[in-house]
Amino acid sequence: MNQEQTEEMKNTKEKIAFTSTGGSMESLLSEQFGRCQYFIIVDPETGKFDAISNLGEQMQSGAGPKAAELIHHHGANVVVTGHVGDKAEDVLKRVNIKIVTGYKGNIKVKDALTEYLSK
Amino acid sequence: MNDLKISIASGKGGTGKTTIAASLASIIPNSVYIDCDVEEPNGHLLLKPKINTEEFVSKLLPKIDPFKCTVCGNCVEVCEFNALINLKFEITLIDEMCHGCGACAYFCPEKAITEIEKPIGVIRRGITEDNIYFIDGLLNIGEVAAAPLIKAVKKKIPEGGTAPYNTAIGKGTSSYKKGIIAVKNEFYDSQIDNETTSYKKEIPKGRDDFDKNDFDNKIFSDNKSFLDNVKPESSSSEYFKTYIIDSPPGTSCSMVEAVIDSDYCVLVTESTPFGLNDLKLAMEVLKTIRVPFGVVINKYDDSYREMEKYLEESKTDLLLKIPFDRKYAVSYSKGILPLVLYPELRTDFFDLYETIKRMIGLEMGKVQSV
Repeated sequence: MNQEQTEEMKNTKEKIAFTSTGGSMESLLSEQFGRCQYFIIVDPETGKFDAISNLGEQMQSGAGPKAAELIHHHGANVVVTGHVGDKAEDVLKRVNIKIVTGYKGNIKVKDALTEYLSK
Repeated sequence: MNDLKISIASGKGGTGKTTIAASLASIIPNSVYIDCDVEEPNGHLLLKPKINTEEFVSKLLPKIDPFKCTVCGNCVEVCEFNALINLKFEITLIDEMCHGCGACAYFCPEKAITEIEKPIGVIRRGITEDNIYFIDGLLNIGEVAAAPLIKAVKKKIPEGGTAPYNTAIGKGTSSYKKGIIAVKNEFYDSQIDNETTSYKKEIPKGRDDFDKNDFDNKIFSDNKSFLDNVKPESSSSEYFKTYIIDSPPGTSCSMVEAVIDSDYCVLVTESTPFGLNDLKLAMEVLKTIRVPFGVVINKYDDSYREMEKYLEESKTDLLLKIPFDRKYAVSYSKGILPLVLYPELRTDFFDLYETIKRMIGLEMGKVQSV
């Protein structure tokens, strides 16, 4: 990552993508990245969120990189999930999306958001 | 005279496909053994061929010219295998996902995509001491798509009478030599003469010599009727050449690719619930692609009755039962085909081959009558 890009990242507003099992903030977090049912993309400043259904659930192969492409196109620059595979990780790194992993599937998306922001 | 393609498949892995396939190849005159289990070929461990040619096989990968590309996303849209990813500022390719179909290059409006070759594996060809022709494919480590390599391996199955094998088959020892040199010349065409002579010394024993073997004579004298079919000279043989295709396990693309155009498929299973479950899946596949099949129960055990019950209910042909026996496993683990050490298996396999030929005859009769 060169200096210019780093600067750009600092200036752009944070948009966090959560992998989710449902389409609302009350839904449980999904531990899977490529094959989660929904992405909840949150703007932490305004608290507004978008729910995007992920087609990767039905894909035979290549769901991870495709999911990375999807959240990139929706302007996310952070992803919070359980685990990210190698191929998806490569794509996420190339488009400068910060990867936050290790979250368990037993908490709600809104709690995951509070937990992430408190760090 | 027809060529005969028999594929050996199974749902479950480790049921003995390769052992059955190699055993069949070793007793059938004019046989060619083709190992299509390219992810982990192991037929060479049992047949021990002398490999004389190796060819690399490539697949085509798209290469995107960054100066011509406008990131329109057409290629990403048409890619059936999710191999192309749109990063907004450029399109990136995930090599291992690509099946090399060429759709991206075809639909690129800027003609920014060219297709380049990438090696995916190697095809090895050779001949065993008993004059079984041997072909196998070996997929490179990390490569996920086995089907293109299997397709390439199967292309080596000569269509009709033009391939170098044919000169070598069925005309006695002298033509065997010619045949082998022909195979060699085709791929090492610029090699010098003295290499060819040194190669002659390594020519394996003819099948005639093999027949004179005491052990064989004993078997053949017991079964005079077999003798006619076994001798390579016998021109009365119904089939010109027999291809034994060793398929990968499972019921995925690679298995379908291996068995799809065969005249008959032998499904190898074992006396376990796992064997039965996966056999059902494999049978479903073969019914769908309309390949006639029969079942061989390897490691047969009396106590598991469900297998035979199911075969009976579904009116499936049971071709052969090979009992579970430690001595077979010992011989196999030493890389020796069990039928070499235990003559009772040899007769079983002759019977199996005769049964398969009869089944194919019946199947063809059916087709004609329709």
